[in-house]
Amino acid sequence: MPSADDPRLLAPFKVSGKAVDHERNVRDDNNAPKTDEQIWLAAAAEQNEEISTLEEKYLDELRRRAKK
Amino acid sequence: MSVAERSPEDIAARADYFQTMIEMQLSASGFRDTDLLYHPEMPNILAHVYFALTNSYKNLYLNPGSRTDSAKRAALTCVTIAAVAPIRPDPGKNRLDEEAELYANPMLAMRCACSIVRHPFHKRTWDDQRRIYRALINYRLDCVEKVLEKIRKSNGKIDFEVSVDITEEDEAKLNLLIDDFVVYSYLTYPIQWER
Repeated sequence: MPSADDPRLLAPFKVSGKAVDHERNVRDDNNAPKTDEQIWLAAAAEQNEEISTLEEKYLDELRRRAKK
Repeated sequence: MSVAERSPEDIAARADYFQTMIEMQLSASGFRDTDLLYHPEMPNILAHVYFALTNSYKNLYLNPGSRTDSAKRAALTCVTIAAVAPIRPDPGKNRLDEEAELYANPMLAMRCACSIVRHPFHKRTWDDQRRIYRALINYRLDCVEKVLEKIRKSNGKIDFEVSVDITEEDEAKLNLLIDDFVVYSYLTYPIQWER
């Protein structure tokens, strides 16, 4: 384990060729939504949990105010 | 089944979208324990009404071949759901949850439309939300009512080309809502990295 003041830590930064090749093989997600419907459904699913909670709170508040 | 200038594949894809969104709404915590349901033809009806409305609106405002922008698509989606009101109480049961029954369709309409423009409507104040929801509870378009009447006569089956003629009154209602969604489209949440 090198110490933090090891002078090799000040040497020019080089990554291994293997790591570079590995990283460069990564491509954009082929499964990303493409059609309008897929994009909209992904956006809706992303917010679903939060919207559901807030809708329920809205209905509870409606019931509370209606009782007044 | 058809709508001018739309392929059966486009209509089926939109019907699937509406069905998924309806299921999402009915599975939400405020609705899952209610007796609300939808007719199996409703997603298809929504898809037809949406495209017929879009065609008619485009005839009024756009050059042939132009696509509607996101704000218009969001507003027309919202209007379609509000006007058709696909989610209904079970006709065979007593109405136990009138609040959920009243709000299911407006909430679905805003869920769908706001996800198109990525507007966080659900985070706005209760009073703000209520104004929009109440407007949508009673939102009707004469041009859509005529088509729905025809569809009811065929028991939900669409075996004719669906078209609507937006009246001047309908056009005014639509334009006000479209303008709302133009503003909503400026107020968005960022796309999440998980996507």
